[in-house]
Amino acid sequence: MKANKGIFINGILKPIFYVILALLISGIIILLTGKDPILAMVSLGQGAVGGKRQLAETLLKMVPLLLCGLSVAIAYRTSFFNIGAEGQFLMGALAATWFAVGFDLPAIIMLPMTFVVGALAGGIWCLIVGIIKIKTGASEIINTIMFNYIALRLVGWAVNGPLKDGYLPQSSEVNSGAVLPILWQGTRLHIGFLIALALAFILQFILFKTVFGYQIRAVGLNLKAANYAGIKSAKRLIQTCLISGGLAGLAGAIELMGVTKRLFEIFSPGYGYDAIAVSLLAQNNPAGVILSSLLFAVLRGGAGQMQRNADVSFVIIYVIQALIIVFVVMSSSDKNSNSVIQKLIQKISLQKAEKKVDSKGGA
Amino acid sequence: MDNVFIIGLLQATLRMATPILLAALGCLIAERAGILNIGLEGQMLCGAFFGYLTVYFGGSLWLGMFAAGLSGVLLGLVFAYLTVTKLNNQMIVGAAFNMFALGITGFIYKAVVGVTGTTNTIPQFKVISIPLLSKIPIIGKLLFEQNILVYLTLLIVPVIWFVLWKTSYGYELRAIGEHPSAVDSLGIDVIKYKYIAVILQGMLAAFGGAYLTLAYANAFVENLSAGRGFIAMAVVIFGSWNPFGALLGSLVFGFADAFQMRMQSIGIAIPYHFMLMLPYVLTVLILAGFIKKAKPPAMETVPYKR
Repeated sequence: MKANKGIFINGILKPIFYVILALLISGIIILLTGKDPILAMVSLGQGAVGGKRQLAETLLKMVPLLLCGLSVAIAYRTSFFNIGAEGQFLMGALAATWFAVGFDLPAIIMLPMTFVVGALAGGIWCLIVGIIKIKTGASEIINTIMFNYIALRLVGWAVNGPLKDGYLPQSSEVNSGAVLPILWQGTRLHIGFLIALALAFILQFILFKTVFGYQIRAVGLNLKAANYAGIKSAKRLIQTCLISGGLAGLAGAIELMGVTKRLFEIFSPGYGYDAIAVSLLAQNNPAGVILSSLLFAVLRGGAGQMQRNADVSFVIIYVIQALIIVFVVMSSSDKNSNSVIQKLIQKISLQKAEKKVDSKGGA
Repeated sequence: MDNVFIIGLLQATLRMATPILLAALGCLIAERAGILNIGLEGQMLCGAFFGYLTVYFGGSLWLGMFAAGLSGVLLGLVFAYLTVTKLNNQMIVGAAFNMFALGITGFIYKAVVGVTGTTNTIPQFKVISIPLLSKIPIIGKLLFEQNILVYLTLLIVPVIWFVLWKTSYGYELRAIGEHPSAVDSLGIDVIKYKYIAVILQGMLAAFGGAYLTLAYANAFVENLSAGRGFIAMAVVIFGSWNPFGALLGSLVFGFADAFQMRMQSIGIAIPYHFMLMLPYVLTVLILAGFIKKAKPPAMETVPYKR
């Protein structure tokens, strides 16, 4: 009972509080530039969840955010800071395009095969960085970022070269067998949504209920101790890289198969970078990533309408995301000290507890 | 491949190397004090933007440099508070800073300057030919026909080297990166040193960013720094945490950058996108190849708690 309460406060109440605080500060920034923050926030909300179409579009954006968020989360558990989900996402989409444009087979073969091809490409893209880290000790942070830029250029080259179709710098449409079925009739929401959700739960299970999950967490928490305990840490790290990159690559394949159907130069609006904040906000818990990716999808989903209605540039959502990350790390480092936020939350939860006691006493 | 081409290429090399070198020098100082700030990229972006904004609103170029430096100092100060005082994870805070910089610069740019079709260009630091010296064949054009920021940056390199290796301040700063508690036991204020290092780092990175708008591209676009902050971090490793090594490293990258631009303009058969990849591929290769020889300060990224 007590443990549940801790999860509720730390896992749900606190993040909500940080989000509100971040929105408040961003509101002040918007106000300072002479725009209307209330209008901005209201249009953000309307644009994200104001109707059937808007809601479906938001859930659609949640799919790549969720998968890439899982990618960052699982890697982070082995102390591998994967900033490369963006590049792995692109490589997944690139490989999936090559496959799904080039091969025309029945859906029953095409769908799983395209998933595998995309996931493999993303996995290998991350694996290269992992191997470099193990062999030479080179920082994965710089390398994954470099690989993002390289992937971006590779996609640019492919859609201007071998995959180019017609006059525009884009690929031809994927064959019909590789198009994901629609989940919610009348909208664009496809079954990739369910796949992403299922993977979140599977990862949560693997991470916390299996030996493999225990070992990768051990490697991340204390490499030396894990080695002493006989865990093959290099092997675990490599496996985690494959899974992590694979998830982001799969996200790229799913985005292609469910939404864009074609590959083009600006294929990702930065899902891979958002994923870092998504994962950190969920404290790298796969199940928590579901909620945080939903939140970020809402921010992204509503940003367009905010830009149109309130004339506030959508890039303000990066400010909101950055503030959220800073609050989250602040609170985790302040566990034993008494920060303002901590005190406030303690106070609220105390008051609630007192009320509960009161009402019970009354009855 | 005539002389003019080669001299032009080398001249451009130095021009492209300067912003990376500035950021790398800052990064080096902070790393010597045990702090790795991956928010370097964001600090460059902020420097580029606030330098641009100041000049856009009629400020002089030097006022632009001042504003850029100030933004870097502020970002450094906040970073130091979050990581040195509050002992937060430097990687996470750095990543958040990059995101913040991307958002805040893009947001203010669109809100204040607007996104009208015409690019909003600003004046720039002009090339200053140093009399007599610039007449020396080849080297003259290369070294003495640059803008003032290039000259100043080249002057800073030996200054930083001197302070770090020939003064007691530098000695203490480097010792903090290796063994902070030993330095602390001598009664030296470790926290103060770390703050100064991070603030200097922010300032230099922001100057590097300002170079991009005030001496290189005379306009601002979203994410103008395009990974140069990360490249600067690789340059520091390449140069074994030494200012002269960093100079050499940034010249290598400056050359890669200048080379790919020239190859594009003379229309060589290698696809344009592969040329654009060059600096990034080079970073990966250098990191993988040099890291074994190079040894970072022992206590890098480890927060110091008394």
